[in-house]
Amino acid sequence: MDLLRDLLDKQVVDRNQVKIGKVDGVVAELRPGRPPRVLAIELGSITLARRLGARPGRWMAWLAKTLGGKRHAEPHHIGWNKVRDVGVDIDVDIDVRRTAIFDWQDWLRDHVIGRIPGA
Amino acid sequence: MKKLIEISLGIVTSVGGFLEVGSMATAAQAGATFGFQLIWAILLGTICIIFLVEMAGRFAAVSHHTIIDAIRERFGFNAFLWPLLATLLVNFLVMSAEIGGVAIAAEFATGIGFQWWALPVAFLTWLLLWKGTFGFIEKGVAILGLVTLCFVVAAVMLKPDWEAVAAGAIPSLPGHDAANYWFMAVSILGASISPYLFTFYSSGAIEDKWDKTYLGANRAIAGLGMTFGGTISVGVLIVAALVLGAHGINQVEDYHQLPLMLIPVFGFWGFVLFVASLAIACFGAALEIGLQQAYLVAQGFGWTWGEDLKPRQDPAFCGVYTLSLLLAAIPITLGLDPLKLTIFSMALTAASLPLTVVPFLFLLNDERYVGEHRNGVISNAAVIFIIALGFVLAVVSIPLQIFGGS
Amino acid sequence: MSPLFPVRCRSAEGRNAPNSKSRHADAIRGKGWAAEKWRTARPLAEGVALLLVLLGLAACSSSQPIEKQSALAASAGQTATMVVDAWASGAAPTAYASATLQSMAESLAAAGRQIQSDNSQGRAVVTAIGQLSAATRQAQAGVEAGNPRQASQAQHDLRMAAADLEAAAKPIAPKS
Repeated sequence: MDLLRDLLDKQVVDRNQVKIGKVDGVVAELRPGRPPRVLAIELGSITLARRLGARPGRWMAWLAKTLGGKRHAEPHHIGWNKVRDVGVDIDVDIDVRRTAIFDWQDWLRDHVIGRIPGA
Repeated sequence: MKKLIEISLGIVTSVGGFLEVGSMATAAQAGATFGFQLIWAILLGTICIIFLVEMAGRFAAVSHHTIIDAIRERFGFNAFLWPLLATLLVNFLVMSAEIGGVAIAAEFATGIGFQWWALPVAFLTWLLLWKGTFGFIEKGVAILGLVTLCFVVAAVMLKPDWEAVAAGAIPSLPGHDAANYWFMAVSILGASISPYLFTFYSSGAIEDKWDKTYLGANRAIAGLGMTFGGTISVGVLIVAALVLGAHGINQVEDYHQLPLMLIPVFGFWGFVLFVASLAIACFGAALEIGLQQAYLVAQGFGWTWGEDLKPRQDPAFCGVYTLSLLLAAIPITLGLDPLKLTIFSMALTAASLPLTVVPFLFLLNDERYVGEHRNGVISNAAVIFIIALGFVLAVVSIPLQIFGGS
Repeated sequence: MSPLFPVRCRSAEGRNAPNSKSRHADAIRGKGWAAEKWRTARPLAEGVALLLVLLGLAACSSSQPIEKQSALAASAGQTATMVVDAWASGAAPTAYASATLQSMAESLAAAGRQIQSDNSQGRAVVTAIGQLSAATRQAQAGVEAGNPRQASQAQHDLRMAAADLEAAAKPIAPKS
């Protein structure tokens, strides 16, 4: 599999067909003499910021930790063993509600969007 | 039979959605100052947008990705960032201009200054996005948009010299004021080839759950819909030339001058029709651009998106359009002249074309996305032409704004 | 190595290794190439930003040539005439007509101020524009008072002033 072509920036969908986000990064293990082994996919603003540069990465990590606590100091990982299918989207066998990925969207819903009538 | 109804509805939607403050203002200015000479610019812009819209629809139907989604996926986040930021900025300015357009229409109707109307208009737009579904918005407002056909009717009633009109369809050099002429040409092209038009179209194709069976419908809707839309723009130009230009009003710099176009033709109803056309056309555009801002961000970051969902289900998506509308209302509330903002944002749209059209060349030829429905020679030639045109526009629009603008 | 790489590599012991090109440089080159290209595009982006600033400044530019101001003034005058006609025939509401006339009067005043050449032609043009401006304000007063005769009289003045302006502006017919 071509890591960057087939994996990176692809839409990730959970067990219930809910859009989680995009593959913002890949964690791979280097093995001498063999192709790298993919360990996990990474999601989150910290990973995206790191792609822009080392400093944006550090700022974003600081911001995430300040706003969200220690739980958000590192990007979200989804282990490679959880990836079910790589097609139009990447299907992963997890329930997003059990992860911290939607924490900020939940906050937005509970504190802003949900408070507006008609939501 | 069902497909035929969908095609007709799609065409009507495209017609009703084509005209907005940018195409109205640029066509009116061009007609008043240069008569029929700039009709070719509208034609050129319309042909270009037909190709782009058809490609956007085909891409979505076959690959089940929207253009935005695919740009991030194919080119990576870092490359995606540039079209994202450019489009967000341009959309912001255009959305502001559209809100300004509705506000002006409200000012004409009530006498209360347009600045007071900016926030209420933004609120109404937001309300429709909050509570409405995609189908309702797409069809409801666009059908109302057919009121803009009054310009075509007026153009015919004014009995133009059709030979002169046809002559205007061929590019010609201006007899006077060259910088102004070319600046207007650039603005018209920016008004016709709006990125939000084709990116919204591809999101709409996904919202409407298109698949490969819709390819023929897509071609019909893109071709006929945009053609009819362009015809209305030409109608505005003809009316402006024969009413404003003929009365000696050669410089249209003030939005108050615009309703005068239809009054000699329809009397008081001309005033009413103009106000209604302006209000509906701009309101529809504001809705589309608001949605498009949300699509842009949500699709780029992989969030849940969809106008048919309740806001609780896609809070980030709704948050984006809420914030966008609020911000876009601010320049108008502060009293920025809507006409000047419109012309400026059209020129800027033209300048940003390369960033948004270059991806088409790659995506529509990528078998992994469109399979056997890749671009043919003609489509590819069209895209390359549009990209080249886009680069020319990007380079000349700023000097022209300085020397040829108002 | 390039911090733009989205792939973070770990050695077999599980420690994070610095980003390094794996043997599959071809696979990585696709997007890495794009990332490199956009990095070099940053100074271009700064140039564009500078141009935008210049653009903003240019939008506030002043001191336009006399032909442009005359054309603007002539159009404003004709607009005023047309609006009074429309109002008199009941086709244009009073609020709209009055607001239009006000805006036209302001445009005329601005056009007159912009003309800076002090030769005889410049003075003639400024005078004509002043007459147009006064007639427009008269028309506005007539419209707001609901007095068609006053508005009509002002229209007469407008036409006279417009003719004066055309005559004054003639010697400087635009050179194409």
